[in-house]
Amino acid sequence: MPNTILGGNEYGLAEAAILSERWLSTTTLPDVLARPAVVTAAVEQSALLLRRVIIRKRGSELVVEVNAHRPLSTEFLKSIEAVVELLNLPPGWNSYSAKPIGPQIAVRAIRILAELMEPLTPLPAVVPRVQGGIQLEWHTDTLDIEVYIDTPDQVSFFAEHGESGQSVEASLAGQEQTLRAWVQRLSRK
Amino acid sequence: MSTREECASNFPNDPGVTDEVALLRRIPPWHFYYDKKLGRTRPRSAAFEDDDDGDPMSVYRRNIIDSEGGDVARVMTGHTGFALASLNAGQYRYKEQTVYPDPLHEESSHTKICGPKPESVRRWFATQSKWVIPPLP
Repeated sequence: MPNTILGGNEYGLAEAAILSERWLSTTTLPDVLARPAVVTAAVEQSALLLRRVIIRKRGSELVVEVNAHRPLSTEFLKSIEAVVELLNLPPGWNSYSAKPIGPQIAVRAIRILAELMEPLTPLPAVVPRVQGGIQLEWHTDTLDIEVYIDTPDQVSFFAEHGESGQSVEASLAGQEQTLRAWVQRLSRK
Repeated sequence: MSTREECASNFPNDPGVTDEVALLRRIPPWHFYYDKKLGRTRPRSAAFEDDDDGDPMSVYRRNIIDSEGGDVARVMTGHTGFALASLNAGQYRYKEQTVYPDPLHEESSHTKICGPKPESVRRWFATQSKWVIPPLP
C-alpha cells in the first residue's frame, strides 16, 4: 500500500477517514510539549514543534499531514515515512500473533522524532513491536539508544555508551531532556 | 506481561526439557540488524516480546524436530525473509522464564516461554541468541 507524505493543507476528507486525532491539545499530550513547565529554554529553541499531525486514509493511500513551525528536514521526512510504512503491517506480521500498529502510536512516534531529531541526527531504525507499539533505535560504534513506545502514554528508553559503560533506562515522562541529550551525542559524532 | 505466579500456574516449567535443549524462534525481517560492536547480524530486542493475545512467546524445541527426523526448515515454511534464532532452555530459565511444552496439531515441537520480559531481559535474549537459519545477506 503506497504512502504519501503531505504537509500543510486540508483536503476536505470525511472525518471518518482520519485515523489519528484531528487536533492535539496540550491536555492530551503526555510529552514535553504537553508540560511547558518542564521545557527548558534550550529545548524550546531547538526542538521541532509540530502544531498538528494527522494520519488519514485516502483510498489505498495513507496520508500524513504535518504542520510545523519551520520546514521539515529530509531526514525527518524519511523517518516519518518509515513510521507510516508500519501502519501497513497486517495482524500476525511476525508470523505469530503480532498486533497491527495503530495510528495513535504512529503519531506519538512522529512527535517524539520531532523532539529528538536535529539536522545531523542519523536516521533511526523504526521497528514494529509485537503488541502494537513502535521502537526507535540508533546504534553506532559507541552508542546504543532505544525508545520503546507501547502506548501514546507509555514510553520508555534505554541508552548506553559502550566505552564508558554509562547507561540509563527510564520512563520518558520527566526524562525528555535526558533522552534528548543522548540523541544529541549521536549528532556530534 | 505474565507474572511469575501466573506462569507457574498456567505455563509451569517442564524440567524434562533439559537446559541444553535449543529453542528456536522465527525472527521477522524488521527484527534483525547488523550490530557493529558484535560484528554480526543479530535480532533486535523487539523480537522477544510476548504475543498480543496474552499468550507467552512461542518457540520450537529442536530436539523434538530432530527426534522426528525432521528439518528445522519446517518451521520456516511460508515465512520468506525470516530468520531462525536459538537460545537454549537454560538461558531462558536463567532469566526466570518457564519452558512449557505446548504441542500443536501442526507443530509438535511448539513450546511457550513464560515470564516477565522487561526490556533489559529482551535485550539480553537478543544479544545471546545464535542463528540456526541466519538472515539472507
